[in-house]
Amino acid sequence: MAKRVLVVEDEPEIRDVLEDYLRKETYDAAGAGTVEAALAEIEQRPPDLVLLDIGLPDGSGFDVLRKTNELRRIPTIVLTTRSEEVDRIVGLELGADDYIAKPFSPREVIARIRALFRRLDAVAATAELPGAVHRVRDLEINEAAHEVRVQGKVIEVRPAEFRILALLARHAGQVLSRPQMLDLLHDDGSIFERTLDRHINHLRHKIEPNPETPTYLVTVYGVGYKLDPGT
Amino acid sequence: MDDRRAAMKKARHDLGNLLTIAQASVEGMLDGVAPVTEARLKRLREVLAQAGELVDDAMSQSSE
Repeated sequence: MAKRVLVVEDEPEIRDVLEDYLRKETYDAAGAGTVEAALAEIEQRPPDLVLLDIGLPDGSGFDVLRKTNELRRIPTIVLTTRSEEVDRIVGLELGADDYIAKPFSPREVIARIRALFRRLDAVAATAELPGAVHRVRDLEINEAAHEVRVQGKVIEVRPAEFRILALLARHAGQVLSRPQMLDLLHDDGSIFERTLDRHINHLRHKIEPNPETPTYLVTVYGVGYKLDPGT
Repeated sequence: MDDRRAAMKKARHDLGNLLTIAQASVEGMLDGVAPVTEARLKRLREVLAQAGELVDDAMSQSSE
């Protein structure tokens, strides 16, 4: 079945072109020009992905993000003008998966949508396998065996460190904010926001070729952490 | 000062939208997603003229 993409954008001309491109790529496209219309559309026919403009006539696109996140997470790409730098960070904090700066090329938007779907499909596939093994360049995380290897050599990590690393590996390439990580870890209280940074630091000393300039566990300033899949 | 900052923010936002419309429209025509019509080209000219006006306004304000 075709994946459904909702375009939330108040400029009809931008919305129409994006919808045309989506349909050409055989996605099922829908459009909304206001916060209210977007929420109604999401409730009636939940999309697989939302393209979300921030400046809407009856509020901010973030309102849409906040309200839908209360129910369930829908993959979201935020559309923003370059002047709204802060908005990108807020968007990522709120759980947006990616952002695209205006003016953008519709072809780039399509490419990003495809990439996000690919990433989500990969995550869904590994989530279904309880004993998933994640491989990121020289790093291997075996969830069933509770084992971390660098270049095939087993590395000793603490339980909390393992949980953090496995979480980032499941979302490789995706930035996770600190609150988001704690949330996803279903934390029992053993990992706190401030100890998270320390765990990451310990992990870096164990897995990074050079812990001072990490290439695996990358800090995205003002947002959070990601495990960089590299090339 | 806050008024001016708000005005600048709005101008940047509007400019971003106008340029997105222009880019999306041209690309759509090039990619064969939307047919090339006189109406589309006229609209494109209008959008670019509006973007030009916004830039002119911003320049004259910042030089005041």
